[in-house]
Amino acid sequence: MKTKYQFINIHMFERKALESYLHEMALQGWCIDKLRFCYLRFRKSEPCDRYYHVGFDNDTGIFMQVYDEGKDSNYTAFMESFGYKYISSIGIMRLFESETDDTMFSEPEIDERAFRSAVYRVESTKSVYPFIAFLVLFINLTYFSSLWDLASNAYLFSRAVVAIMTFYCFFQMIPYLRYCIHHREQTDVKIFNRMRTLNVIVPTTLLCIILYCLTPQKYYVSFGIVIVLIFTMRGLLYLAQNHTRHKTLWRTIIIVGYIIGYITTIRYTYTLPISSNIDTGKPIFTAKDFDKPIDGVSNIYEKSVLMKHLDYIDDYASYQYYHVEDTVLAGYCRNQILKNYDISGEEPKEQNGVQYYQLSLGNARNYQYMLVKGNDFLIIGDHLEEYLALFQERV
Amino acid sequence: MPKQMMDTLTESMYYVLMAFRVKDCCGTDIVAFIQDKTKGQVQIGPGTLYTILSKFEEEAMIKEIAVEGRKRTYRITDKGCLVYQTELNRLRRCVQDGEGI
Repeated sequence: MKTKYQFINIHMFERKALESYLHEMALQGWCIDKLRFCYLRFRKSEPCDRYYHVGFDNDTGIFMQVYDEGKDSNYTAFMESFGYKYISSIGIMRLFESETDDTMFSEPEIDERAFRSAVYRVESTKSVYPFIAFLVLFINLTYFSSLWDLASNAYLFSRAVVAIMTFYCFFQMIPYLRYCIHHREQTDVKIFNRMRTLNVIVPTTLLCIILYCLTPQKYYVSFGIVIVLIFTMRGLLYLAQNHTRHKTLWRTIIIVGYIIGYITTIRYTYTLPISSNIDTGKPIFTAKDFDKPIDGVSNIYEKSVLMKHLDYIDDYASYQYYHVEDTVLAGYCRNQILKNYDISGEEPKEQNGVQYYQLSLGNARNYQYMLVKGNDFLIIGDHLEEYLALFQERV
Repeated sequence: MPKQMMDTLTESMYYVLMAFRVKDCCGTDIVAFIQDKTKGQVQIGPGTLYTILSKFEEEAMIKEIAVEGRKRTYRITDKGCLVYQTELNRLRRCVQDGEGI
């Protein structure tokens, strides 16, 4: 059976608009099948004149608002005894279908009071608390972040997800705040078009911005090709499904072709790291060495899409090394490194084409100098001359 | 808030209690009674009726006496009778006041 999904997050005070919207969809031959937390599912049928009614069951437990089906509840049984057909439910909202347009509610004085109490109970849980929770988490992650967090993909990913969720929950909370001020139920069916836009475009845009910030510029072309492949693949599969005789054969050809396309694109654009061969002098890791660390050396190193970080210690030397990847956020990362060593506003000295800063005493392990060449930073204790020569040679 | 709601019964509440004064009822019995009694002048939606019954049960004005399958039957309590009688007297006074002008 043909089904269609609409990504819509329904608020209780949009029940009248929802009833009208579902009626319009039924007239176009799409009858609602399922009401869920963030989507509606429709099944294809003959165009029909069906009416939908949204009720609310205040007996639903606060922790069951997402999972409770509501099919076996007293409320559902009560409505069914009056000829309403149960369709689906989400939280305390119950969706029924009938052949006539008779309203389920007849006395505004009683209904409005019960409805408002239900709205406050549900929407505070659904709209306000998630925003507060994500905002606190976002502030917490931002406030307590350090320079080394930038070198962790897991950390960057979690912060990106929390940022997206905070924005998303904020946008979801706006209609509820509007209802709290005006106490007007939403009746405009067009709200669902706007909501679909919000639910799809806003998270997608935020995700694209974040991916854009985190992607090294050398991968832009390959990522672009992969995205184009993804979008064209869906169209071709649709054509194969609807306009070919041997559907399975064509689908297989398309999928295999695209897999080859993906692999070729990735192999063509991805270059393997060049292995290092340090046999003399003090071992310095560079960006190239990160994928092949030297055996037998005690070190801590991390790498993310934004930067690489190495904290090196052995019997002869201790240093820290940073490599900032060539992303949009490279400038931010460079500033964070300088800020971390309290040299943000200072002018560097230069020797043999390598810039260096003198650090103030008191840093951990008495680091005294920071050597900078492009996007590479080396923080050392002493032996400045030797390191300058080595740094110039290796980086 | 619930006590305020019960201080004065709304029209629907009054008719629902009236239905219980006649016999023990389930939801459909109540609607049929009100339809018959008022000749269709008073319409009560099932959503409103469910809210009223929940409120009455919460206030101990009615109690559940039987469950047959998914059908629940309720009976009026002494407190419900008292509230109904009080409301009836209030309405009588209103009518008398209106007629006395």
